[in-house]
Amino acid sequence: MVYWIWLRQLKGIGATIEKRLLKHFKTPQAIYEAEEDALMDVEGIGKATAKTIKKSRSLDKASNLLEVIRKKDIKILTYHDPLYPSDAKVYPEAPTVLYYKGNIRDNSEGVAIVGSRRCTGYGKQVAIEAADYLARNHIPVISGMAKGIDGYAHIACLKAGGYTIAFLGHGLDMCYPKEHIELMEGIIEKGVVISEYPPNTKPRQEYFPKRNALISSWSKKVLVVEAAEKSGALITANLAKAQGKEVLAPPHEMYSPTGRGTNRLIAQGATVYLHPSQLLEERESIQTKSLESKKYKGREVEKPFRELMPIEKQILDSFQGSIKTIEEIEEDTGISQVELIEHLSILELEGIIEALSAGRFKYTVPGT
Amino acid sequence: MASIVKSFSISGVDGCLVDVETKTIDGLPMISIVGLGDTAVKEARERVESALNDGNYEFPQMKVVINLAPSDLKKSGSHFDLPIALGLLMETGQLKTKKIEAYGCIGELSLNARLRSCTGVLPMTIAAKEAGITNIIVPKDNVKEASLVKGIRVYGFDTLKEVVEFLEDKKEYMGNQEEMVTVSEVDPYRVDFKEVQGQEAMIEYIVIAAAGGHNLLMVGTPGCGKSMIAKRIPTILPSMTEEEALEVTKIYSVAGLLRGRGHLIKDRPFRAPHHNASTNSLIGGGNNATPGEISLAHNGVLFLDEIAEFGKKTLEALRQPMEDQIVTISRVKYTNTYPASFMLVAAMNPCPCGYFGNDKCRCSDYEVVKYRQKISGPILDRMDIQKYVQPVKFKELSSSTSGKTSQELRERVEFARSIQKKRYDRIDGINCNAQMGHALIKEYCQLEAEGERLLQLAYERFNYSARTFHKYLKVARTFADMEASTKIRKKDVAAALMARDLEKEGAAMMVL
Repeated sequence: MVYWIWLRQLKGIGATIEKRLLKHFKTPQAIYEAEEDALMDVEGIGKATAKTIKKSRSLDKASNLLEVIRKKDIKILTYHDPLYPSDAKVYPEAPTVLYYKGNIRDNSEGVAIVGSRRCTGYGKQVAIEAADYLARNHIPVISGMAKGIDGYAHIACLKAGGYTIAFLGHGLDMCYPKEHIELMEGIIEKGVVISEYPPNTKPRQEYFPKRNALISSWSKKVLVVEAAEKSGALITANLAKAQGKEVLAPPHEMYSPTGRGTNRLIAQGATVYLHPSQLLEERESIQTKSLESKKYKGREVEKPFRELMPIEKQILDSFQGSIKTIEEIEEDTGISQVELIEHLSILELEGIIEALSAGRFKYTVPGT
Repeated sequence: MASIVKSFSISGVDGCLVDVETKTIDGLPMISIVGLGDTAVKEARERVESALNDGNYEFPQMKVVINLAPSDLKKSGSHFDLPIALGLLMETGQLKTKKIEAYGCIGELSLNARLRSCTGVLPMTIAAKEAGITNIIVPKDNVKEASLVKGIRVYGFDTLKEVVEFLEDKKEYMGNQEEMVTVSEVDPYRVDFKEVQGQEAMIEYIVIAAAGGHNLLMVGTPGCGKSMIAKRIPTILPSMTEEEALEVTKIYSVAGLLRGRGHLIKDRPFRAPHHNASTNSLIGGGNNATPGEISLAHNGVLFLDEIAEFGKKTLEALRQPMEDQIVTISRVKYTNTYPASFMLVAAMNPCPCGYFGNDKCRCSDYEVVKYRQKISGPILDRMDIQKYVQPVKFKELSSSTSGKTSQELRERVEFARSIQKKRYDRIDGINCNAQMGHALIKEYCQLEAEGERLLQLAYERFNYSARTFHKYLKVARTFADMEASTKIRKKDVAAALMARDLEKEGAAMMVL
């Protein structure tokens, strides 16, 4: 193991060269022990590089780091580990060593859900619905544990009992953003947090694009929920496109600044995301299917069927598919608020209407 | 023999009898006041000396010892000036009177020998009456306040000279001039619930809160009318009984907030401290451990606007007084107990930006949860009713129809309170539904079968704790009382279940 870390720590050698070396010498130990001439047999390694490798033939730094990693309960995933997904290896820049906390399961490629930090209620809803759906279908939800969309995707997945992977742009012995510390613990318990950066690496702007690349390389599909004109989510989308993965984006209002990036993705050929089932199926099959025919219902509540009272019918009719406050219902039905309190409470308890935040109610007509 | 003049001291909100003993001894001219007086008491010597000079009396050129008995009780205030001056005059033979024993004296002296009003006159007068004293001499400005106590003759004077002449029987007392204050029945609050447009459902819950004494938390976007509603809550509270009014007046008298008013406080207090308030200003304390906002709101409403902006420590300090309805302020040198039975009304925004649930809100659930956590669980737990206030629509703002008047609402509140009064007649310390403990809830919150089924459904669906369960029962009890139903009906339960918006929302938050 210490040789792997030594290899990773070599200056002036990127993931591509590392992999060529590995291919040639089979194990990092062999690279460590190789002579200059043997090293120069590998394509792309000149005299200077070979000299540097030779010069840095010391395991002190690597074993120190290994010590720290063991102490901090961080595990290491090497390129040769069977748990390293083969799909992820397709990406030429795939790191030879990854640090992780939690459990990497077999078949860990999943679907990435990414988006802006300052998200709208719409984006939040899309992210939660998608993550919930994936979790129920046992597909790992992959994201970056940032505020906003990323966070909601992880949480919704965990709440639905799913498996989730978070890629971080810093060492695993810290948490960024800080308020996600509980979330990080939750992910470690039920999923895994992965980083290519050794412990003690503080988050820096330039680390995040690399993390985004990892997100897309481990995913079969990338759902960009919400992205403004310039955002990290768009970087992920572009990398995914370059890696040949399907990029999906829900449509946003034309003038909405928060959805400008995603709308442009659609214009550039990303799949229009209209239903979570698109995250499971092959690309082609979707166009042939009528999307209107099925609507994802989310958590189904057992509805005790009973005869509705006329006044209740009147209340339900007034909804017409929109979200309403008690005052708006009063306006539409002419029933006084004082009287409405009782009926709304009962309807909500029986799961016929849904109480949303800030005192609003929602009624979905069954069967639509 | 030492001359003795009776006066009083304040401890907490109660007065107690103090004998001011004055004795002249041969020795170098000096005056010493003993008996644990504070600085205001010690400084009396300067005021008295000047006042005696001004009144053409002679200040004794001897050693003078003044003792405030009981000597182990801390005393504070400037109202000992008059008894000290009278004692000196008697001791030096400049005032000859036999009737002083039947009189209590309080009053501060000015350097020109005039009497100035002082604080705490009401509790001191009560203490005088309880001690069997039949007459009390007070500064003229305090006559009205002292006269609130029945069964004691109050004499008000302007100057030291008048007092001396009266005690020497040189002048008859002219009697208290009945000031012809035309107490027209003007609404003391000057606000009315009819000015609140819309918000019917909210007002219904406010009526319930007022009727059952439930604490109330209003959540809403900036400018939706939280403060407007809160200001009108005292107008629907039942009027205070004579006893309650006297309690409140006593507290205000001790706090020195009665000067000028001088009459019984009949309106329920409404206190709205700014969120910058310190713990001591809220709970009581500081110099002489004076009553804080919670005691000033006794029998009334304590309104904490923007409760999330209050200091955490300050809010936590409310827990114990809310439970016990009294607050004991302990300092190394003294301990004061003040009553603090108030209805807590609080208002806050739902999230940092204030527009939660609105399209323009970009607060993440973590931020929302963090913001709400500023109010700790135990405090939130004491809020039986937590409702969203919806912003008013333009249509309602511009409509000419007005809502129910405070008068109408108050009648409903008083009706429900009368039922509760009957119910809790035998039980000490319980006046309204909000104060019920577990045993009482079991006894008085009988459910109809339909209501029980509904509550059961809610219990299973939302995984309520036993504690939350009891909260709903208490609120449902009040709903039933509004219509004089002995058992809690289905509709009462349904309405009560809608009383805690925030709790439901907390469960739906996307946080781990």
